[in-house]
Amino acid sequence: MSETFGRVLPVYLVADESRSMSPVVDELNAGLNSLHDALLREPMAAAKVRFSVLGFSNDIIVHVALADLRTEGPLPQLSVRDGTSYGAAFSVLLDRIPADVRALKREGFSVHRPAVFFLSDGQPTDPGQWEEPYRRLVDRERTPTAPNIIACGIGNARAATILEVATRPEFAFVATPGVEVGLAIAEFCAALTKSVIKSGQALGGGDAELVVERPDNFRMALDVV
Amino acid sequence: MGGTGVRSIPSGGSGADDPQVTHVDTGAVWAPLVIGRPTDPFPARGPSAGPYRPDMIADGWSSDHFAVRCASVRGASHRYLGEPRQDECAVVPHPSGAVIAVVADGVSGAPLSHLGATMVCRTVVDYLSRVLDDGTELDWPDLMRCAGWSLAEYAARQLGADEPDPQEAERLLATTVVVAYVRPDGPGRALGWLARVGDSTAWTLRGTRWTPLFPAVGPHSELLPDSVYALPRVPTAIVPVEVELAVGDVLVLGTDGFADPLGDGTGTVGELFATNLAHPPALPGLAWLLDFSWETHDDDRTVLAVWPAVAATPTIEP
Repeated sequence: MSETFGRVLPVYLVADESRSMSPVVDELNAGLNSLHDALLREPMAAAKVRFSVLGFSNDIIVHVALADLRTEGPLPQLSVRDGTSYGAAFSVLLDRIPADVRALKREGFSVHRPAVFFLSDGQPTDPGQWEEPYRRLVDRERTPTAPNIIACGIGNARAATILEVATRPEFAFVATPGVEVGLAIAEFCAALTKSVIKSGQALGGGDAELVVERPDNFRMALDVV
Repeated sequence: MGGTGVRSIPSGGSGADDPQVTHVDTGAVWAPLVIGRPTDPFPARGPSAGPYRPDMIADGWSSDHFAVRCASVRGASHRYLGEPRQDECAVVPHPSGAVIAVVADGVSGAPLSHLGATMVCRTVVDYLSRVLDDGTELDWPDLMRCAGWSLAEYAARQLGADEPDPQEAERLLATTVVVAYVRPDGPGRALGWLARVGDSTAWTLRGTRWTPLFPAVGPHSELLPDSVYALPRVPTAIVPVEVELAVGDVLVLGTDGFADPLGDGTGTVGELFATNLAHPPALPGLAWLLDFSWETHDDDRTVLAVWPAVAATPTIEP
């Protein structure tokens, strides 16, 4: 590749479409529309995002795949079906994400580590089965394009499960008991929008060390800033 | 290049030889080059936080041994959001004939990293000038540690803290840096030593060939790195790169805002800059080149170029 066409961030919204989501699926669809509107108002941020929407129950429906939302029509509406198979969701991500990254690179983009926003209102209906595809998905040795997963639990989702799904503890969010689920979804969508629009660069680490003592030869430059 | 066909810097207006001409259509003459899909037009917002920081800078000079140019322009994203240019550069002649060149890129996640980038450039120039004045051996790791420490002391001053706090300095001021010390080695020739912290980088340019002087960051990774090395964090090993500049070579330093669209230098940006850096351009010329519009490349961009002078007396003045 002679030159890159810039940097893009693949974002995946993985939303629970189990029956129990029925009362709040309208809020979720409204939140998605708000996200779309916000990105249309921020074309510079939108240019750097490729957005996918996956709904999961016992199976997965890919509603939107790697879309540039500036040129996307109205987003498809999420609906509800039977089951809450986390395993189905993670298995599909395991297939799609490496292929999506390859596709973006073929187009000439440099690709940031993908971000998955995972939203569920219940416990997985496939306990003991979802963990293996999940582990493969987030293992950066086995899956070099392993995503960061931001997990949000509402309704009956247990905090311990959401913590297991999030790739870092600070990426796990559980709606406060007593908060209306529709409001929690609205807050999730607002946080998603903010994250997507303002995805910053992380600070360093690795084998670099902080300078913690004044070096002998240090002298403060006089004509500072 | 996106339909413009423009590949060289404007001459500065048709009135240069005609004293009667009082109007130059600067909007037309200096309209940004478009590469690929342009950024949608928008008003560039002034940085909302002080201290004052200009949108772009252009600098350059000539000596008996070198001509230099540098430019640093605020990226479209920062202009849109009303945030300051976080890139910085400095290029200084030393009485020995050497050139001290520094390019820094404040980390976007650190809220005052633009000040960190400036602080580091000033500290590096000060440190290298002292070493060259004293004729002592240059200790690159010590240079980087001092540059890092300058952030800790600066943060302490700004916050009114009793003691420097490197963690706080990192949170507020983190910045990458690439440093070059270049000394003349006969007509048209020079020797250079470079070191860096982070992803700011450098090349030699010969004709249309760009040769990177540092390995790509994460070359085997399928993804962009998750994080960037940045001062005040200093890698455990700082090993300077040595480069010989032969007649016709140009030494170029730059931030990732330039390195990304440049790629391996064989595309449009590589050709554009190779053509226009064959000789030192007019001072505003490099800034104008660097301000090209390309939608997804919206980061700050900085380029600093050093040409060894072929003749003892420079023929091109800023």
